[in-house]
Amino acid sequence: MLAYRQGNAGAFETLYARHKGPLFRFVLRAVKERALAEELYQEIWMRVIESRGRYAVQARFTTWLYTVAHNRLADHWRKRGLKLVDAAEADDPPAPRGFEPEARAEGRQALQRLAAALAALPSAQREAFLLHEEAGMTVGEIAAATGATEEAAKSRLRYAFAKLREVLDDG
Amino acid sequence: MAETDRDDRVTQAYRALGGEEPPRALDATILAASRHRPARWRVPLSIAAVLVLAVGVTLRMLPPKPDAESVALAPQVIQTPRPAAPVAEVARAKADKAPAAPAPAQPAAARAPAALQSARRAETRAPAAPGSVQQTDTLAVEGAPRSAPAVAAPAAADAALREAANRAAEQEAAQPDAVAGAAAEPQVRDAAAASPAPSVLSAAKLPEPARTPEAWLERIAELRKQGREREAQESLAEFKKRYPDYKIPEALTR
Repeated sequence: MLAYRQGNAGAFETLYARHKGPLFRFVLRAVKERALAEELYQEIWMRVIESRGRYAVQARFTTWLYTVAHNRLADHWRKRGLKLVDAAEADDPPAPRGFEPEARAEGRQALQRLAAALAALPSAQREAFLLHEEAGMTVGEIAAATGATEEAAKSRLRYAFAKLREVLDDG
Repeated sequence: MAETDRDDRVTQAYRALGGEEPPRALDATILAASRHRPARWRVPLSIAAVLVLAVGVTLRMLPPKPDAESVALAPQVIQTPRPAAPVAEVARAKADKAPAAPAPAQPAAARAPAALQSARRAETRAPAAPGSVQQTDTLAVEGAPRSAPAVAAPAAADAALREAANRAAEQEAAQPDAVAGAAAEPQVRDAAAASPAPSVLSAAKLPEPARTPEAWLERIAELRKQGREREAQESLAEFKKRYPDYKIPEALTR
């Protein structure tokens, strides 16, 4: 990112190639709508490009990138009258029909249940889980990216894993 | 099974859900945006353009400076000599009513105060330019005695009047003798000499044209012939004061 800030366009291409898949999946599984996910995904990268002049090394680039993504998603939920919560909310939008993740041959049903369970997680827990799985972030980094305390981030992650384990165990 | 293992199962199951990727068109859009960088010189150029525009507008809004010609002309316009009607009229009225005023060579305290004040007012209305002062002084001192001292304004009078009076005296010394006029002339000359403001006086407004001593004596003789003895005597007295060294014919001195 520092190289990109100094004018090296190739440095951005390297960053983009490394983070485009995880970030896209993070956004996709957070909003559950592909068209909306693509729109938000593009906006997140535009913010990264526009912020290159102000970028300062305070944490890993991954933490900074997902902080931007978190803020954009929070803006999205705010416009819809929603907010990231720990507990399951009645107004948490359910996954739309037709949202079916790609499934492997073995355990297709289990995977489908897992996908449904992931979509059903409270948004804060789902976010913590996705940051852990897609971005490889630690509890501290999750806390920094989401603006939460480490205890809150740890709790959200634990509950997310617990619920997903139940689904797999029930399978 | 340890919780860590169970977490690994969740992770593996999650990975099995598939790795969605963004569409290629979206990749291209984002990469193209990353390559677009505004030229570094654009911002400073924009700032410079705004500054130039602001300065230009400000300068256009400022009132225009008067050019040198209009400034130079203005005093001349103001200083155009004005007719000395008020002073001449006052002097003429005095000549009609009162006896001869003290000679112009007398100290300032003997000057007609009204004439001095009128001259001062006239000077205030139209301040004198050096050139016009010289010219007017030349007219004013015609008929004045050669050796007449400089006209002196009162100590409390305007400094400009004193200076102009001094210049008038210098002119007197350099000028040839002027012909004395009738009884009204001393009055007018007194007023003119006491009022060095050239704007007050003009040659066209002097009650009588400038006369030589000989013409003045002829005038005195004429007054006697007309039986205007008193006027003749007053005029003769004035003449003697103006020209103390002039040899007056015996016929006129009786």
